[in-house]
Amino acid sequence: MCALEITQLRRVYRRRGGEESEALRGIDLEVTRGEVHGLLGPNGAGKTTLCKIISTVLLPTSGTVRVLGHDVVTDSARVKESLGIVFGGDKGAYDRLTARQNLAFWAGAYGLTGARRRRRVDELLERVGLKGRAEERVGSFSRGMKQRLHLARGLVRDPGVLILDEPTVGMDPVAAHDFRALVGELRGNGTTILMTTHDMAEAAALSDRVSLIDQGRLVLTESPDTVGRLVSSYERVDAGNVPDPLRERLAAMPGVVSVRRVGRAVTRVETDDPDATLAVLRELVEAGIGDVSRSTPDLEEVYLHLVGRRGMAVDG
Amino acid sequence: MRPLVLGLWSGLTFQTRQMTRSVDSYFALVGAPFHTVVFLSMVLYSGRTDLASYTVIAPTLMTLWTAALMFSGEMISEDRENGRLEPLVASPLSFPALVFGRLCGAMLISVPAFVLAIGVAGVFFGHWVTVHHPVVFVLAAVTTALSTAATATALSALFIVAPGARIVQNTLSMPMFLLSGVMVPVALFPGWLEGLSRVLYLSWGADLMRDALAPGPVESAAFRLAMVVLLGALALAFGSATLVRFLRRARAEGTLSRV
Repeated sequence: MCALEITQLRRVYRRRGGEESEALRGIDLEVTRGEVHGLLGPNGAGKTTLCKIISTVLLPTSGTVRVLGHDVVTDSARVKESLGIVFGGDKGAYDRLTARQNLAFWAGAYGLTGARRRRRVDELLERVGLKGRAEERVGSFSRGMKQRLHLARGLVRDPGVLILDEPTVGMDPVAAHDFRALVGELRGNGTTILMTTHDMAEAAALSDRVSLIDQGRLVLTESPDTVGRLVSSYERVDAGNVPDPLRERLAAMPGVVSVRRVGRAVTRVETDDPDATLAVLRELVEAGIGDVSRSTPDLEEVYLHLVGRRGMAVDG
Repeated sequence: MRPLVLGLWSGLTFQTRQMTRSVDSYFALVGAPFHTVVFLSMVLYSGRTDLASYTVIAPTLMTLWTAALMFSGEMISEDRENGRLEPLVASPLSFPALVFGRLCGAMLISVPAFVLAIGVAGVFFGHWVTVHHPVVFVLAAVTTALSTAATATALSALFIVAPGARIVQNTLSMPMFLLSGVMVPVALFPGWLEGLSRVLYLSWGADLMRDALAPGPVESAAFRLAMVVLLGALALAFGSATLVRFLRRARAEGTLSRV
């Protein structure tokens, strides 16, 4: 059964002056119960917009989103009961209160009272590694510690579905490692998780399936294994001191995706066909280029192939 | 019903806890002893010792209203600026009930204000207040505080829907003090002004609290209490509806987290 059903979801923002920007353009996605689903995309791709609509804090322009069968617009009260949310960044806590008081407030907001609330707060503080700092004001916490607190807040009610929007931003490597272990535990408990991230390795390591989103559209939804095969279908050849006429010949060869400089003297040729890689190697050797190496790109580079190279550009 | 109870209780407990940890929550208290000194001096100088008890009610209610203005102006904006509004709206509690609950907690500031006013009147002027009708006094004080929280909920909705209104926030104090008869009993106003002041819950609450201090019988106490509650309930209904409308619009426009 589906924990999340997203059908033809569109979201249009209207700016001052009447200009419109389409953040989501007909997203269709199903996440089954107990699945950990990674959502990858550059800034402005629509990841956070999607999380906000699922969380009921943003209304869709059209399309539907159901969380455990409940519509986020017409049945938002039921959705809120079954959803845990961790928005990214270090904002969101009451800085003058202690970590324990913050969590007690949120546990109360989700209907926990008395001894049950105290027990849950203790469990969560222990679980996110903040037990030793429980009585300190959150204002004195580092960004990573605040992120841990947000994570604990998202878990106060033992949610059926957990939305994690860039959960490890600002965490140090040890905390990020602990976070991954926690996601593994939650998966074991049957919690459905939708996690947005920029970190390809994190998405591949934690997710049952990964979706790539760009400019408001889902580019693909596959298992990390399939994405891994996709990775291996791309290859790259790095060569030193390639003259311009040869670079132009390489770029015109079939199966060559791109030819670009990656260092002062290094040219990188990327292909999507093993035969093309062999042809490129042959061409380089015949031209007398001896400084040649061959490798496969990482997930990030494949991702860049799929969504295009827009550098630091953020979609409007 | 559950979201309402969750919101109210969470807001009340949160605000009382928050107030124990932030000194600036008590800024509204600063004026209470000074106002007592000024009002009591004027009353004693003019030989109206019968009005001396009134001078501890005025600073208490002025503190209550100042706190209402202060908290209603800041509460939602602060949550919005600090990224808390979205998680609050995404939680199962009722947001208007949370705001009202928090403002009810903030109204507890009237207790130390009353103690300060009584203390100043007693210690510095030798005038110790006697509450001749304690039940009426407590009921009047509680309903007035609740209606102030309700009115502050309406103001908080107004400030968030029309941020420009916050510019005039501080200028709302003096007209309210005068119109509600906190400083001067409404009965001493010209007739047309008295009619206007009767629209304000605070005029009913202030009169009732003053009458509860006097030795004579309190007339129509139940009706006057009902007026305080009714006017407070109307303000709460307006505030809740406005907040719900604001949240709906912000969710539609995507401006919930935008300051």
